[in-house]
Amino acid sequence: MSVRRCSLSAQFRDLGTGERFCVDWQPTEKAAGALVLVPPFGEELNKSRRAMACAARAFSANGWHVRLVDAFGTGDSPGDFADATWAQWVADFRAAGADLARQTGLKVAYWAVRSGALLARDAADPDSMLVLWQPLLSGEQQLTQLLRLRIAQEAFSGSGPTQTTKQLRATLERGEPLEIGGYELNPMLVLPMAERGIGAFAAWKGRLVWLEVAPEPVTEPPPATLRALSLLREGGVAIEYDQVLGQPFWMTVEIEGAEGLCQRTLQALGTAFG
Amino acid sequence: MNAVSADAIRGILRQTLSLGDRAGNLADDSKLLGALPELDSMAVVSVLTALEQHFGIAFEDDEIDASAFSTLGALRALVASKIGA
Repeated sequence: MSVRRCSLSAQFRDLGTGERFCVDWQPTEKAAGALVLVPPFGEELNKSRRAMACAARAFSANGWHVRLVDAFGTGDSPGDFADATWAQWVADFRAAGADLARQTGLKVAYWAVRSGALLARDAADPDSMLVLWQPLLSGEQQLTQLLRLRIAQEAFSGSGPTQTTKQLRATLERGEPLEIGGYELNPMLVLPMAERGIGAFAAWKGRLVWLEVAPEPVTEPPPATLRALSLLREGGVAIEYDQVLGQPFWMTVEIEGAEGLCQRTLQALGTAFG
Repeated sequence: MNAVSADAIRGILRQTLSLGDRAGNLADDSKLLGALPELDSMAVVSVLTALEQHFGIAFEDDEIDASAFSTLGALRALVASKIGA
């Protein structure tokens, strides 16, 4: 793999869904591949920024044009997070891919981290190549985690009796937003997320590269991953699964990189040029 | 209970709480809540989520109380009860 020069640019692009802030890492020579990054959200995004930026730089040095787009209501793009919906984010990532395909003349692949995997599943063409980093297997689990954080915060602040996850969920189902950890969550964002899970990849026709980290060399994937893999494989989905050494960078107290995931992804991307 | 190894629980505690080498010393009768300074209310949420994601299980509110986090063995039993169910 020859390492080429690359450049970084940041700009607002009109994606058709509106102006969105895009950060592009691109090789100075013509790109050989195009990749849209679909990040996790909330605190996991904050924790993941460094690992994603390092990897994006490495991918572009190896010939890939990588784009990170701030979806509606996030980062530097317009809109309030409280107004963000799942459908809007799916539309944004789909539009970012279409825009990048026009710009490069290449078929776009998606690289998704954590809950980004469920968004990428909805946004990408089902024959696209997907690279998933520690994909969230169940949107329901992510919602439950958010609701528990709110309960833990209430309990910690001692502001009266705490609500149960069921009560908080009922609030969302009535169409009312919930504030959790400084984020105002729109029911139209988190309820569709909760309905989605790894089973949604059952009809995937493109290359599906699924990578997870383990803190030490282990012989087999975690039970939840094993079940999901066998379910999808029985249904005829070809999955390239691998585990690499690494820390859970999306949740660690210290900001961690993802060197192992990055190198393994480069290996998978390298074969995409054919 | 045997379906859930103490190693798996130790690994999740080590990763989630950044315990490093201290995790290796944890046995079934090791006290967790009140004994590990890292295990505050937010960390309890993180550990629950990590267990759910690792084992593909879901805890209900009323299945979780302080006693579930009293010792490593209690946490292991909680997970085993979900897997067996």
